[in-house]
Amino acid sequence: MSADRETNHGMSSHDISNTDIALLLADAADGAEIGIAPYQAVIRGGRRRRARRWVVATATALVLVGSAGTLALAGLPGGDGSRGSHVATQPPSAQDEHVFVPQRSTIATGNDHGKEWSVTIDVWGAPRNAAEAQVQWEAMATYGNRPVDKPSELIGKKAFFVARAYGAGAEPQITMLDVFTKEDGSMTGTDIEAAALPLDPDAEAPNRLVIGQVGKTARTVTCTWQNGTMTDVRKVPAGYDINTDDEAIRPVDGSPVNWFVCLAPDDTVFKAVHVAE
Amino acid sequence: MGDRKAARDTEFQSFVIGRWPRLMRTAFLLTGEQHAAEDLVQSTLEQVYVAWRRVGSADDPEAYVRRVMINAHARKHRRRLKEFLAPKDDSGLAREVADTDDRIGRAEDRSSLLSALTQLPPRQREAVVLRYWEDLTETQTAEAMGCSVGAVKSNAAKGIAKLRAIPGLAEMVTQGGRGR
Repeated sequence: MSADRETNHGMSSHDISNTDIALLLADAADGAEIGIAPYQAVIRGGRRRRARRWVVATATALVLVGSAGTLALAGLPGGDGSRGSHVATQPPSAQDEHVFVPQRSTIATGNDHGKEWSVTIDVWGAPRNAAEAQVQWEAMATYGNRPVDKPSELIGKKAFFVARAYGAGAEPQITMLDVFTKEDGSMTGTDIEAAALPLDPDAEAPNRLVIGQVGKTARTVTCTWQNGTMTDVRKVPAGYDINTDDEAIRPVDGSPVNWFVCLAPDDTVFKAVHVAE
Repeated sequence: MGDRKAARDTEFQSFVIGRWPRLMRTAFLLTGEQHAAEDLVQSTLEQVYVAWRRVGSADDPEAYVRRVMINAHARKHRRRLKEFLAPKDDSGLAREVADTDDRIGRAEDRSSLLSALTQLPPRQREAVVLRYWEDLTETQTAEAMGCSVGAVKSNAAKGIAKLRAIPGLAEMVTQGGRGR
């Protein structure tokens, strides 16, 4: 036993040895009722944990889908494939890396019964130290919510905020916020993480809007609606025009994953979504 | 891709089923209570599930799981740490377990040891359980606890000293213990 390799400091010959303690602990541990491993409950709990990544301000009926056993987001400073082509003779500054001001991108816009809607994302660069993290932390106060509990947890991680707005002049509401972490791994192939929710942030139904993330290689995502119809969204290059009611899979500045939006026709709601190719 | 996902799910299921008994015993020693142990293990495995793609392919998934479990345990007790420590010192611990009967049965032995364990501050308890039940080296224990080897030595030594102070422990050694 490794514990035996340790010296029993200060023990006399009649003292209880570390081995004795180990045996008593083993005996005490046997008092646990083992039972059957609650695998299904673990899976359900794990999925709920993943769902927490979608923090909806109004806590409306959220339908989350994702590849089991994976979490979708790829890593972190440097996780963005576009960085590979960055040639520089000195390290980029915090400003260059959008540590203090996020990169904002529009994922989709549309017009639903005369009401304009949009889905946008802010991606913050990874702070390199406590001072940068503190500044970023304070800047994030404008969202009214933060993806981590304390500034130090921002260090070395990109953060993002997805917001949706509905109606002319409406204030965008945060729909999802999180940090991209190394642990999340990288999304590839058919990996997908998406949520279906109402277009109107103040409504609780119907779940017509689907917002999701896919790997950089995904070319087509198919959203299937309850009435049996489907909508395909296809990948467009970075910087491609954003047209009203023309949803697509888009690269997003600073994001290691691509993002997409689907909107169900009025008379139906979300049923399923997957990467078709 | 679907095959890979299915393979990962199967792998995770095997991991959960295979490790459940050991994790339960460790959690039981950490928490001193059956339901709390179940909660701790389930919560740990839920977190492992979320990161399984990376964890499952890692060289030592066990180390990751231990780290998650210890973090979860520490988080749970962080808020209670002050009240835990406030009324107790070494002599206090001894008094609390002083009513141990000379002719206790094994269940009572277990209960006494568990009671003594739960009286330890969480970090001492974690160090003792990882070193003497999980049989980890000081370095492995330090990794699991996210602290230095020195802190492990200190916490384990203090924890063990308090356990040794349990009246009747010598009798437990002669009567109880695995294989005795």
